[in-house]
Amino acid sequence: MTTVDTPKPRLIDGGQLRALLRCYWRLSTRGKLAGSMRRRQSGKPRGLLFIAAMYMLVGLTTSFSVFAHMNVFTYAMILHSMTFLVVGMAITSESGDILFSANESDVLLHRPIHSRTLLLAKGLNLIGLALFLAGSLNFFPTFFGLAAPGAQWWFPLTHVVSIILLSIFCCASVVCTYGLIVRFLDREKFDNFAAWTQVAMSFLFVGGYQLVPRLMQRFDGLNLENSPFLLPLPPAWFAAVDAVGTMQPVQHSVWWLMVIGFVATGALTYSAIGKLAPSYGEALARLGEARQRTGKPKPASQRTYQSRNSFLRWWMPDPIERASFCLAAAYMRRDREIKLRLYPSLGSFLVFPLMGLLDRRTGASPFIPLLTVWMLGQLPVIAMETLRTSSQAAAADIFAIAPLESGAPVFLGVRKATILYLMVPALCIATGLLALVIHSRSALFLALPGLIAIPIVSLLPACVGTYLPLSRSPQVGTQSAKNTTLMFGTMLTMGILAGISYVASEENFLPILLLVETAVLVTVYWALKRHIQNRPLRWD
Amino acid sequence: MISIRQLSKRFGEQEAVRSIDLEIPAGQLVGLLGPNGAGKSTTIKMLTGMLLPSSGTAEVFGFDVVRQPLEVKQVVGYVPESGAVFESLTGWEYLELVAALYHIPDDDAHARIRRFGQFFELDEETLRDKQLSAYSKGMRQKVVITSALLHNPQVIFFDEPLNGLDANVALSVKTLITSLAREGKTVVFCSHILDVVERICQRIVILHEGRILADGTLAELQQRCGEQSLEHIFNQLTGTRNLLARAEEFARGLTQ
Repeated sequence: MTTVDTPKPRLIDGGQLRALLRCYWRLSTRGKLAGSMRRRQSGKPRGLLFIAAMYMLVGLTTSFSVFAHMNVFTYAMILHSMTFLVVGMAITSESGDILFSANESDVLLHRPIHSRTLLLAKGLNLIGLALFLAGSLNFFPTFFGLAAPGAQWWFPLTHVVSIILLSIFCCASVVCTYGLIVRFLDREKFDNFAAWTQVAMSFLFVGGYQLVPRLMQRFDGLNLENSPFLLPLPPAWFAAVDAVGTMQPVQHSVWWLMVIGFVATGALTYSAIGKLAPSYGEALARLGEARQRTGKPKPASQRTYQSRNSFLRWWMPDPIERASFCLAAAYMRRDREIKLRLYPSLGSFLVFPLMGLLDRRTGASPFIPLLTVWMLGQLPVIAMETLRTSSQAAAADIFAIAPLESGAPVFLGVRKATILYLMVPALCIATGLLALVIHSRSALFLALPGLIAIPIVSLLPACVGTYLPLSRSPQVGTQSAKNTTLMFGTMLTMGILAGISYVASEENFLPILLLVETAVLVTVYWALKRHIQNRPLRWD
Repeated sequence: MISIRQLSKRFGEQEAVRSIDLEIPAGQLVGLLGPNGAGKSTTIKMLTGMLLPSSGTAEVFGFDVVRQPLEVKQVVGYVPESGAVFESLTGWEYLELVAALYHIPDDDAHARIRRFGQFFELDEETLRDKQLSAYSKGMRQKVVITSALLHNPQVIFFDEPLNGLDANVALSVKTLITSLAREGKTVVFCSHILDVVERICQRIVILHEGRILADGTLAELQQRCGEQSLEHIFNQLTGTRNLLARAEEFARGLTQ
């Protein structure tokens, strides 16, 4: 076999870039995103088609807003706000795995790839993912836009350009944020900081989406002269591209918004690939290193340790349940992968009460507590499903080896960990915010029917199959059919309860509803728990 | 071929590799041994350009690992201990990717992949159709070894390459490794299977707590330590005293 005559290393190598792009595309379409909904080896990415269809449906419903006689700029602003939220959240949650996969260092870092080529390939992969989602979401709205007053026939073309720009902007922002974090922090700090940065980013994306309609309402429309608040809002920059491209005439200020959009996107992209890439390879190697604790860990005081143990023994007399609780708690606190997947989703749960602060009519609005409880009801299920997946899935064989009759104590331990460490703090924060925002006591009572249903809903993950923590490989995916059904089931249950609560409040039978619901819930809780406890442990 | 001078690597307060000096000429097969955490993998990662040294210099095939990491990476092959691969790719796709990263033309790459496939008895249909996540540990290790040798590197680092391989394939790999050294390649072989190291390596380097404790042929080490087997030499240099007595006492404690 002859030695390969490799060309002189280049900063951006076209051949390597193409090979990496092909690889990342395959990984994205076969991995987490597509999950097990893709029929294995059939070559048909059914999972992707399902996701595209879901996003297209959401886009279609938004399209109808064009018939509210809004001009191109306002319509495009709504579309870009929605896209900004969806693309931003998706990229934020996927970027940790794509940019800083811990396993990748042993696969790629000893190959002759310049870090700029590697980062560009990953960035383009992120952009591809963003464009796929943004394209699906904007498929119908792009054509409906032709119905907007003042829109020219080439609106779809302009909107495609603005959507591409927005997608690049979102990806470049995320890459830049990570690039900066990784440049200044070591591995230990990076893990924590990245997780919390993701929370902040998701909060920003959800908040941004909620902020726009409220600001539009407060300032009676979108006019830059009257509304300087538009200047710092990225969706407005890209909506301006649509407006400048298709509206005649446009305000002078809209031109400025468009220029800001182009400049911000260009600057972020240049910083991400041009400036931060050199330190990226080194950072990847650092993250791939074994954890090294610097300094001695702070020992918990003997009293704290004893009181915590006594509390856990009282709360969970079953040692298996207690051990499972500790396992879940440790992974929520320490595991980078779990933290990066779990914490960003938390941001969205507290957005609704926060947004109430901006809403002029909040004092009387019953929807804020209803929406907050509806969102909070999904938190335990999302957390438990996140804790089901781990790249260390092989370690979960311990549950198969141990002489367990049922998976119930293992599940109940994880459930209690999510309740104590996530649900209780989230409830406290939400209650505090709602108390600030909602002045009507009756509106607060509306949240009760949903609130008391949360313990029942949190049993659902164990009802649709054997639940074992950290037992599912990420290759199987978080978007599996079972998982999606569970999420929709939870959303639907909490949604129906919210609807019934509202009707009960309007018709003045909320106390009766609470009594009946409590009786039903106690029965259902008892039945579900019995079902979970009696089911023998089946190893998938 | 490999020249290391005062090479050190520090992670925070911990010094993983402490000022080591080593010269390995072309065509030599060197066994790099050490207990867990001795600094073997860190040393290899610095020599493959994956980690930057904290101080000191290292050259591989005449290229400086700090100033010319890409040139170093072009001439080295590395079989990592983790056996990490992109599991959602098929074996064929993964090897095509590796070939493309070394600029091997498609036709040549396919011919090379087939040749390795035949050597490792990897059926082409399995390689093309099955994702790596569905491979057995041994099959995956064969793909990892192929990916390290596909570009015909001059210097090869094997970190526990026999992990998961059955006895027959392990024998083939051991023979392959010695043949590669005979063909003029520089081979660094890390393993905890000491009798394999004893049989195939021309020179043995023992690392402990980031320092080189011993460096020489088996005969030289035997003479120095007054022990015959590499296992006893290794234990004498790096292990706990009275290992046998301690193990017996512990087992008694377990059964009582």
